[in-house]
Amino acid sequence: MPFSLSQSDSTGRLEARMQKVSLVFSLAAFGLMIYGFIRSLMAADSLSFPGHPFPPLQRLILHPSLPPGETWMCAGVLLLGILPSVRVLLALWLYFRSKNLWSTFIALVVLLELLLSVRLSV
Amino acid sequence: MAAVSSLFLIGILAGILGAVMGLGGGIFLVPLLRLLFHLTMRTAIGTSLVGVIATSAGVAAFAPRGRGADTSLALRLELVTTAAAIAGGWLAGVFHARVLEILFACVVFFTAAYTHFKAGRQAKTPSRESLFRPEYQPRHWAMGLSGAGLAGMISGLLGVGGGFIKVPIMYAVMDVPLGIATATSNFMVGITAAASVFVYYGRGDIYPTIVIPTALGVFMGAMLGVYALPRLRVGWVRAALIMLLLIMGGYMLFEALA
Repeated sequence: MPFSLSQSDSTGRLEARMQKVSLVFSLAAFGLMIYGFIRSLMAADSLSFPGHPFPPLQRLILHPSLPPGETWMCAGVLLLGILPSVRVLLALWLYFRSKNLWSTFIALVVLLELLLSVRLSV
Repeated sequence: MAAVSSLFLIGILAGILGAVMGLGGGIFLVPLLRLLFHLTMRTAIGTSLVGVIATSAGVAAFAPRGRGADTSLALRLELVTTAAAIAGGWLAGVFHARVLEILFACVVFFTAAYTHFKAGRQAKTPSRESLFRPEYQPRHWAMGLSGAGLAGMISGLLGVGGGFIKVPIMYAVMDVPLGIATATSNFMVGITAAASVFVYYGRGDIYPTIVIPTALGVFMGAMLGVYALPRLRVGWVRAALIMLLLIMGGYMLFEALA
């Protein structure tokens, strides 16, 4: 018996969906980053090297009053940062639908660990 | 603008090497950012973690069908790796930069030695082994999970994906075919880096002007690496990689001890 879902699934459903999700999220994330970067360049307000770091998530959520370019860049980096979690979520959903409960449980724990890492940063 | 262009070019180089060698690319990014831009260790690590996620995303998005990761195996190992990466990311804020530099140099030398060792092994058995054999059963889970935990801790501490530990552990210890181990490692490095990147983000170690050109370069480099891989002479790439690692490891050690 093949070991993995990705190997046993003859249509490569999981692999194909992972590829599509990775492509869409990556292009969206880099699109946002480039747009924000160009806006910041045009405003020439915050491109001194190395400049200042991204604001903490808490400040971003509670007081979203960043310069426009920086908001887009921040959104792009965060979108890229959550892509691995989205891939785990997708695996969780496909395992659940195929009634593979043990793998569903493992994917859920990994997802919770990733959410914990976000929580620790706030 | 010169700095931004240089970061973009460094990102492309790291992305190509990361995709071609099956690593996240952080092992090249951290020393290059330290060497050329004199960034603090934590800023270099935070930037590298975003780069590792970009490599993982780029390879996942553009890799040919049928060469994907074993998601089930990856998630089982990630149970330990992710927890260790969070702990490593927190510990990096506690350790002195010099300790991290020495540790990084050791890891870089280990990677160079492993790459050299792997080349010798492959030269002895060039064609008998299938890279993507469809039926296999991972073994030695206790050792595999221990290695995955070590890779996670190093990832959080040093901003590398830890692929150079995960691939040999899966391949040599758990008896997973090398092609599947490399693809699975690529999936895992993204998750492991994501576990610690938010810790660095919250600590204020991620700078937009540094991370965006670097990550964009890495993503494009990973795309190029995926397309170039079948056309490259592996021996030359491997020799260049070992040379590069030795130079960067030597520099990091020199800087830590000077």
